This record gives sequence, structure tokens and C-alpha cells, in this order.
Amino acid sequence: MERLVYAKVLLCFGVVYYCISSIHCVSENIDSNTKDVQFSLITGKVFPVDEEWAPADWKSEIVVHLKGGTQKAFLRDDGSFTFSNVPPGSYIIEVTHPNFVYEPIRVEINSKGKIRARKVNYIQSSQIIQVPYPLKLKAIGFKRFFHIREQWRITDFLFNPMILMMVFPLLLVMVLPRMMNDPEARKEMEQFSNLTKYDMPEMSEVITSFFGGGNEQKPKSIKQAKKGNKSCKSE
Amino acid sequence: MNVKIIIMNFCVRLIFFSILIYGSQALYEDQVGKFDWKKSYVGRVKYSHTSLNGRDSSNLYVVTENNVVAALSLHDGSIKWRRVLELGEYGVIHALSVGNEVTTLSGNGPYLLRGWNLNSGMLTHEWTIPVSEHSGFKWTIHENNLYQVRFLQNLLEVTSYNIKTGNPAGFTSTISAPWLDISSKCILDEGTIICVSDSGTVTARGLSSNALSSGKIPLSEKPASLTPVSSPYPSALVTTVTGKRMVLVVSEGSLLFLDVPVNAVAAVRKSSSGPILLQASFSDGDYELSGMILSSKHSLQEKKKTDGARLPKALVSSFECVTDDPDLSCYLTLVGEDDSLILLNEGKVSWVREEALANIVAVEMIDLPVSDEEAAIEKEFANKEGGIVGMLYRRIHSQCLQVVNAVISILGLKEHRSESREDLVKDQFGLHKLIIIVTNVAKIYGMENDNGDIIWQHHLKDVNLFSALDSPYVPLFLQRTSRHLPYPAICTLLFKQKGTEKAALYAFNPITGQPLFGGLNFYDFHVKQTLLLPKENEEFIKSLLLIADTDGVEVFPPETMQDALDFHQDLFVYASDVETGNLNGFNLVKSNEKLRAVRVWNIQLNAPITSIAQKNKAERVHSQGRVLADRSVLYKYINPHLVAVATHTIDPVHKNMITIYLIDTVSGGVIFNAAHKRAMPPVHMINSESWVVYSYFNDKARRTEMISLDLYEGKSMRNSTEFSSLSYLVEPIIERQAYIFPHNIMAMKETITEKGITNKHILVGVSTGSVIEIPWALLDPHRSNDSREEGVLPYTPDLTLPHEATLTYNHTLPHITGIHTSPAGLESTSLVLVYGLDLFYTRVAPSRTFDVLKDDFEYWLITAVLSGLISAAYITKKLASRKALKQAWK
Repeated sequence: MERLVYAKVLLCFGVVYYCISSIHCVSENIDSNTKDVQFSLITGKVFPVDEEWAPADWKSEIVVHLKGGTQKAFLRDDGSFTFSNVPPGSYIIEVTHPNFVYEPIRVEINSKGKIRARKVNYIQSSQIIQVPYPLKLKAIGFKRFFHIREQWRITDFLFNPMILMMVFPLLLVMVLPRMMNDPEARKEMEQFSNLTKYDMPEMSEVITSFFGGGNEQKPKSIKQAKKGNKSCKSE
Repeated sequence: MNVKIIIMNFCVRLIFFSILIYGSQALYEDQVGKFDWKKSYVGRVKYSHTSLNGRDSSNLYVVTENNVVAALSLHDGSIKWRRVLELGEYGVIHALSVGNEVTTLSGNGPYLLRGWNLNSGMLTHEWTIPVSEHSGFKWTIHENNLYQVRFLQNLLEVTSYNIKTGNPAGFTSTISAPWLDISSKCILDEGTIICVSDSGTVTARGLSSNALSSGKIPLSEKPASLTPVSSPYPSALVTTVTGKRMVLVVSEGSLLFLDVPVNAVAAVRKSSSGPILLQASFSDGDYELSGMILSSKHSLQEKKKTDGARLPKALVSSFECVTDDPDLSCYLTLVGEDDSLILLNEGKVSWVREEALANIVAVEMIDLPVSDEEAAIEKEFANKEGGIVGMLYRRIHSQCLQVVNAVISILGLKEHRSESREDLVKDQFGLHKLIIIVTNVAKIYGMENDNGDIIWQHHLKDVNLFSALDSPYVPLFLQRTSRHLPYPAICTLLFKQKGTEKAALYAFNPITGQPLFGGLNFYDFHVKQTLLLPKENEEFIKSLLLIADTDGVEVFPPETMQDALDFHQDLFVYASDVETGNLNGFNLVKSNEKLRAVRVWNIQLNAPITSIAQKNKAERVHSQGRVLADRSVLYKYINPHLVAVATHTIDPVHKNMITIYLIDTVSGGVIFNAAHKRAMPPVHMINSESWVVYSYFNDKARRTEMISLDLYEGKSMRNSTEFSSLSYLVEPIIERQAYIFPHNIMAMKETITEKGITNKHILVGVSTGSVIEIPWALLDPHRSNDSREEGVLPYTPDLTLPHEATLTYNHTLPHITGIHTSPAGLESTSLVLVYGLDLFYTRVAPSRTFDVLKDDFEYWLITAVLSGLISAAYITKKLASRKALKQAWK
């Protein structure tokens, strides 16, 4: 029971809110004698992306479509538009311009002629984000129809990793031998290599000397002996 | 965590999409106009007004049958501004008045009065006339007042409004008119009602001044109709039952009348010596302008004649004279019976606008024939007889001819043939074609596809168009292509004879526009269905079969009857009744050397058909299957006889319902059907390869939805060579997926290429005036979130595409009615013509131009690199040899 009352209160609140939001409506209801349909008036104003930079004829290129062009509105000099004779229902308002992008707006007119506007959400049509009415439609940007062509620039070419990979070995191949030929450079190189030279005995030598320590003199003595022989012969 | 995943997922999709879009379409800015062109039209002129204000601001203001208000330059006929009103009844224009601004009245109750700026076309004011319980109003605008008149028995109901403010709205006065009876013919002109009774009594009553003048004209017969005459005076043209014509003019309270010859068009001008009847008498495409002072019935001395202009029969829509003198120095605007708009200035043709092109019904693109030189070469190779000596002789002969031709063309001696243009030949890539266009008034055009130039035109006068699914249509058949020189190409159109509604065939050479087989051939039956034989005879003609409503079959051209008889057991046709949803399938049976259609199946859909989609006969499918993630192949169900039919039912429970049927038209089997509750027309369908795409308006969610169906035979291929509907019944595996399309669709078409290797794109014309290119991969029913197949995108319901996918870039094409695609000689390219109020031609390459170099290919760079390399090679060679020499001397 309590819950029901609560719900009722909520409902009332909702209705009040709805009325407040639609106070702005300048809905002009034309009572027709025979048909019970009440026709309403949808009004709004269109703005370019940037008032200062907009081309002079932007207004004449704009056509506002209602329900896929079944009704069209053209802009007046002040950028405003009107759809007259709109029967109750839910409509999509699209502003078309060759270069400006506008967001479509859904406008709903109930049977009493009350109008509310909201953002278009095709996927979750129950989600409602209200927008003020009378409509104020501002372009959200420019349409980008074209790709930007890649231009050939020398810097792009040079900093291409492939080119770098080609140039670096080329440098190594071409420049280093030249540096070796230059005497000063050679000196420098030698100094450089001297710096890095270690006075370390070679490992093989150390090992050979370690294993065959006494044998070292042998060849010498043989040589000497040979020399001695030679000398003897010559003598 | 979850949010993160969603965002990640979204990013992945975005990347997928951008790759897909970038990889396939969109122009570079410097390609604008390179291979596309657009031509703007206004449609058949309903009312016009000429205004002379110096050379640059002299305008012709027109309102047209296509619901367009426009200002045309009087100097060259170009459009200065154009405002396209609503499509259909809501935008029908009833009245035009030009004063300080252009004022138009449009609508079908409620009515809208709109004022347009003379120079810019901006809306200046707009007000509405409320809905009334009555209909059948007549309207006239006179001196800043709009009059709404309803004719009753002996009464007139007149409501007047100020055209600026709309006041006083709804105030109706009733005028007693004892002179008005049911039989009298009335017309509203310049704020005056002119009525002619059967006895020839004329009554003219001013709506604002209440001035009443009456008189009697010497009519021997009953008047049949009253038509308006272009004139600053209240005037009318009376046509009697036998076709005699007489012009009536009310000038300063007195009634003037004059007979008008049958072949002349008339207008009445103001001059210093009173009203003058301007007559333009028509004979053999030329107009002779003459004048006669109405009060004294004196003819003017001067006469002016167009010279060999080949103009159509026309009516004067408006005129304006330069001076007040009684002469013929006037601008005359004529509206031809072929919808063309003609401006005559002092009897000379200033310009002609082909406004029939605003209402195109059928389009075909035809290969141009090869040039004479190439034809000679082809002839040489085609002819194999004569042995080696004969062939050598032909070779030498044709080469001698080529040398002679070359010498002649170098010396500039070649004489130009006036009739055919030299450059109208087939190019290397098969991109140069001739567009055959058939319009609503049965006017046929041959148009070059490179720039939209009209090569030839022909207007058929005695025929009507068929109409199906609320729009006119003309069956167009290419019976012989232009490849078979020296035989001319044959194109055939099927019409209905005016009056009898019986079949009429018009055969012509599409390259030159010359009629063939005697031009129009009339038949003595109503045609039920037509069929182009898929086989060519020895003269390369595909026979055309006309099936009469009595089930008899007629063959065109008649000498190809034998081919049809030989082939008859393989011929199946179907006919559909759009209103009742009845489909009938027929087989052709031979009896007494004649063919008869025998009904073999019947399907009753019990609902009006809103759309039918067949496969394009020129289509080829390259890939027979699709490779799945587990490397197995799913074979496509490619049934060339498959037809998609959509019906619309209004159901008390589900309100609107759209049902889709896929029907095999040979066996009559319904392969698939699907119903969409709370769905509304318009239904647009594409039936191609193994898939069907259709769109409808979802009434519940209030959005346009696109459904794609993909049909598969299964994992084994039943028959690899050809498909047969009769041998076995296949239940295809059908995959489907729905997408939301955020625009209103006006027309839909798939791209087509020569061999079908290239991907397919779907071109969608939308109500905001652009054509959007959707890759088939985006509509693929395989798209899902858990599939891991190669090249398949994750599923997103929304088909919002970036602006790069707009084929028409910043052009706005109002009221698109159709898109025609045709293969080019290049496999990558498909030629596209979008028609509606405007014509837009372009090329698309769905898989990019993989078979030609890109147009931004940098020739100079590659030349520079190559020449650099060659020169470097030579220099190093020299240096190396020098070094070797030096080394040897050391």
C-alpha cells in the first residue's frame, strides 16, 4: 500500500517535471474542425561551427529534415527554422549541410501537442537524455571526406629505419678504411689500441711454459751447437 | 576491471574499423572531379516567370513537377539557386508568383506558403494554411494576395490571404455566381475567374475588384478544356471537342478573342498598342514566331524563325518582352513534350535544358566498340581460312592499311565524320562506356560516362511506361553487345502502346541511337512477362521472348524463333502480381512450332508485395566457399534463380508486418522466410552472390534496420560445375544478423565487377542526399563477439560509418531514386551512376585499385632513382677501370 502511494507521488512528480520542461514550448495548436489531429509547430535555431569563420552562404546550404525529409525546413536570415503542421509522434530532426556535422535530435510530440526533445540513441531507445526546446543546434565539426595524401619529404626518407640501416653499414664500409690510410688517424688509432693493450702474457704461452719448463733451453743449445759446428767447419 | 575490458574491446573495434575503412575507400582531396561528375536538374517545369534586370541578374524562376523552386540564368540556363521541397504530395507546388520575392504555395492540405529571396534563394517568410475539410481548391496569386477558390453550384467560395503575413486567415466570402453551372469550364488567371459555358458565353470576374465582364464567343462546338495562356492579362486558351483553339483575353473590362492554329503555341503580350498575340508555329522542329494585334487583328510585319534547331513540340511557359513596342523582341520560355526547357530569344534558341533526366527510369552502361584500326586487326585474326599464304596476305594488307592511316593522320588529311565522334571508342581498361538512359517521358539518351555529354537522344511519342511497385519502369534488354563488329549492338525497350496498353518494342543501336528493325514494333497482346534467352545465336543475338497474357509466346526478332524452340525445355519464367502477392512459375512448351507458357507452380503470399530483388545476370561469383577457422570450407549456396520477395501486411495485433521470402523461381520452392513484426516499408533489398541484404523501418524502436542473410550449402559441395534447382532440394544453412543503420534509405545497390574477385560493397543512397559505401564485411552475418575467424569483425549493432565512406563527398543529391552499377574492364573497378533529381557518376574500387598503378604513383621519383643508379653504375665502372690501370702500372 505504502509502495503504491510512493509510486503515485513519483508519478505526480514526474508529470510536474514534464510540465516544467515543456513550458518553453511554443506549440501552436491549430484546431481543425474535422480532423481530431492536432498539428504542432517545431521551432529551432541552427548555428555554424564558428560564427566568424562560417562561409557567407552557409545558411542557404542548410536544410532541416524531419522524418527523413518528409517535411523540410529552410533557414531564415537569423538561422531559425520552423516545421508547421506536425502531427503528434516521434520524429528525428536532421540538419544537413555539405560540410558541417550536426547531431540529429529526436523530437516527441504527444497528443496534447507537448513537445520534448532528446538525443538520438538508436541502440538503447529507452535511454533519454533531454535537450532544451526550442532546439538550438550547433555544428559539432567539419566533415572529413578525404584522406590526407602522404607527401614525400626528404626528412621522412632519411629517418626511415630501413634507410638508416642501409646508411650505417655503408659508413662503416666506406669511411673506416679511409681513416686507416690517414697517418694522423692511424697514430691516434695506435694510441687508442695501446691504451687498451694489456701487458698480460698470452695464455697459450703460459701453459706451454708451465708444462714444458726445462725444454726451453734445448733448441737454443742445439742451435748453438749447430752454430758451433758451422764455425768449426768454416775454420 | 569490467570497464577496462569494455574500453579495451572498444579500442580494438575502433582499430579494426579504421583499418577496414582506410584500407578500402575514400578519396584524396585532389581526386575531386577527376573521375566523377555531377549534373543538376530541376525537373519538368510547371510554372515559370521570366524577369529581365540587366544581363547578370536576368533570371528565369521556375517551379517544377519534381517539387523544386529554382532560379535559372537567362543567359545560359545554368542554375543560380535551387531549393528542393519535400518529396511527394507534401511538396507539390500549386502556385508561383514573382514580385519582390519568389512566392510558392505547396502542400496537400495543410498548405505552406513560402517566400524566397530573388537573388539568394533564402527563405524570407513562411506561413501555413490550416487543414480544411474540403479539397479541390484552385489557387491564384495576384497583387500580393493569395486566393483560394472553391467552385460550387452557382456559388464561389473565395478566401484571400496576404502573401506576406497570411492575414486575414480563414476569412471566407461566398460570392453568388448565377452564371456558374456544372457544365461550364473555369480557370483562374491573374486574379480573375474566367468561365466558358457550353453555349460559348464567357464570364470573367475579378477576385479583388469584383469587376464582372461577360460576352459571347463564336464557338461552333462545345468547349472541352480551358488552359492557361502566358500573359499579363487574365486570359485562357479554349480548346473545343474537335480540337479547335481560341485565345480569350480580358483587357480593361472588354473581352478579346482570336483563333489559334493547331500547330502553334500562343502567348499574349502587353504593348503600347494593346494586347498582342504571340504565336510560335511549329513545323519540323522549328518555330516561326509571329504576332497579331488582338484588338485590330492586324498582323505584325516581322516574323522570326529558328533555323534547323530540331526542337520538340512545346508549350509557352512564360515570356518577357524587352520593350513596350509592338514587336517580337521577347524571351520565350517553352516546355517541350519531352520535358525539355527551351529559351527562345527573339526567335533564336538561346539554350535547351534536358530536364527529362531528372526522372530516370532505366539505366544501362554499354561498352563502346573498338576503334576502326583495332577492328581491322581483330578481323584479321578472326578469319582463319585461306592457309598460310592467305594469312600472310591479310597481315601485310592490314599493316599497309595501318601505315597509310598513320601517314594520313600525321599529315592531317583525315576527314572528320560529322555523325560519330572519333574518341567514342573502347579504351584499354574498359572504363569508357556509353550510358543508356530511359526517362519517364519515354525519352532515351546515350550519354558518355567520362563527362556526362549527351551523344544522342530520341523521344518516343506513342508509348507509355509500365508501372510496378508505385514507380514507372521500362524493361531494357541488351540483345547484342557491341563486341561483335561489324554487327551493330542491339538494345530493346519494352513499352505499352498509348491508348491500347498493348506491348510495344523499340529496338535501337545503343551506340548511335539509330532505330533497328523498324524502330517501334507494336504487338496485339498485353505482355505478361519477358525473357531474354541466355544463349546467343550465330549472329550473336540473344532472342527476346514476350509472353502474352494469353500464354502465347512471341519472339523478337522473329527470325530467332528456332533458337528459342531449341532451347525451350530449359526456360522457366515467373510472373508476380504485386497487389495480391500471387507468384506464378511457367515452363515453356513447344506445340506446332510455337511456344506456349504453361503454369507449373503458384505461390500465394496473400499480401501486397513491396519489393522484389533478383540477382544481376551479369554477376559472377569467384569464390565458391568460405574458409573457416578450423581450415574447413563452407560452400556457398549460389542459386541464380533465387528471388527475394518482401510483403507488407497490416495486422490488427502486430500492426505492420514485413515478411521476406526467398523463392527458387524454377522449382517454386520457398527456401526461407522471415517475418518482422512492427516493421514498416520502405523495404530495400539486394540479392547477390550467396547473400541477401534488406532494410526496413522498425516501428517499435523507430530506426532503420538492415538485415543480412548468408546462405550456405554446407561443408560439402553438391555440384561444382553448375547449379540445378530441379535435381535436388537443398536446405541451405542460413546465417543472419541485424544492424542498425542511422539514416533513411532511398536506394540500395551492390557493386559489381567483371570476374567477381573483388570484394563487394553496398552503396546506400540516403535521404540527406549522400551515397554511403558499406563494405560487405561490415554486414557479414558471421560477425560475432566470440568467433575467432580470420577477417571477421566483432559484432556491433550500429553501422555508423565515418564521413570518408561517403561516396558523394560534399555533393548533395536530392531525392535519389536509384543507383546503377556496372563492371569496368578492370577487375578492381565498378562504375556507378546515382540518379534522382541529379545525376552523379563515379567509380569505386572496393578492394582498392590493385590492378593499376595508383594515380599518385611518383613517376619522376622512380625515373630519378633509376637514372641515378644507371649513371652511378657507369661512373663507378669508369673509376674502377682507371684504378685497375693505375694498379697495373705500379
